[in-house]
Amino acid sequence: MSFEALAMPQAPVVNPDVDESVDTDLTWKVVVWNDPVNLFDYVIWVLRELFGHSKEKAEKLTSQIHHEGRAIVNDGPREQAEMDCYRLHRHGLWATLEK
Amino acid sequence: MTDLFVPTADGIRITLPEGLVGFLKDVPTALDHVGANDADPAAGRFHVAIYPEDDEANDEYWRWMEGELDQSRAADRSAFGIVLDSAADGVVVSTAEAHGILRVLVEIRLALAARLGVEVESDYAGLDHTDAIVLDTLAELQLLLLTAMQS
Repeated sequence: MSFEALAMPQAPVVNPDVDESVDTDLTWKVVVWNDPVNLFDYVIWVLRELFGHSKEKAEKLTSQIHHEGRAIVNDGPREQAEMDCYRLHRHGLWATLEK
Repeated sequence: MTDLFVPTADGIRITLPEGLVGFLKDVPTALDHVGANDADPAAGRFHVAIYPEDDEANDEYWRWMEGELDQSRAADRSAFGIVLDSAADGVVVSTAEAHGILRVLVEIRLALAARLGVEVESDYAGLDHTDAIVLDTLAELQLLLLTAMQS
């Protein structure tokens, strides 16, 4: 018996059934909004703790939230962005998602 | 109030005056019903529409996440209550427990502020003196604990 005979038969190549209407824009922005209650230092700490931002970046984002009303603190695929939102809500921050 | 939260090798040592313990013991009870009633001004603050322009996606998100969020908040409050039972004598909590205590302090301040009608910073000026002291005390506790956690 030749080695060729032992080889696995080649399966026909079939194009996967892909729904072309599925949203392929995978990046979602995680937005934190200003609120009059959460403390500046606390927001900085949360952003560093949850996203590993540097002190400088967390301070800059927190300042942006305070002065401009909102800041994009992270982005990523929808599932990750939703989890980010969950963690921010768990820490009492006002967070939403947008494309 | 500077020595209420002291960093140690094992975490944070918490020692609170009995009066403060009594005040804080009411906190988990005050939070028990947050979100259960739409008429509660704090409900919206604890149930943020993460897709502000897509009700269907928002409902779907909360269908999956609400139970988990409620459960984790309840666990924080329960741990908070246990720590308070020993806080007058002094108790050492782990870093993870300290995080949970901080989250509860944040939650109660958010809930109280919402119930007192604080929507913008200038609303603080119109608060009753006692209400303002309560919010300030909670803020000070947050900052003291945060400082100890970062030491």
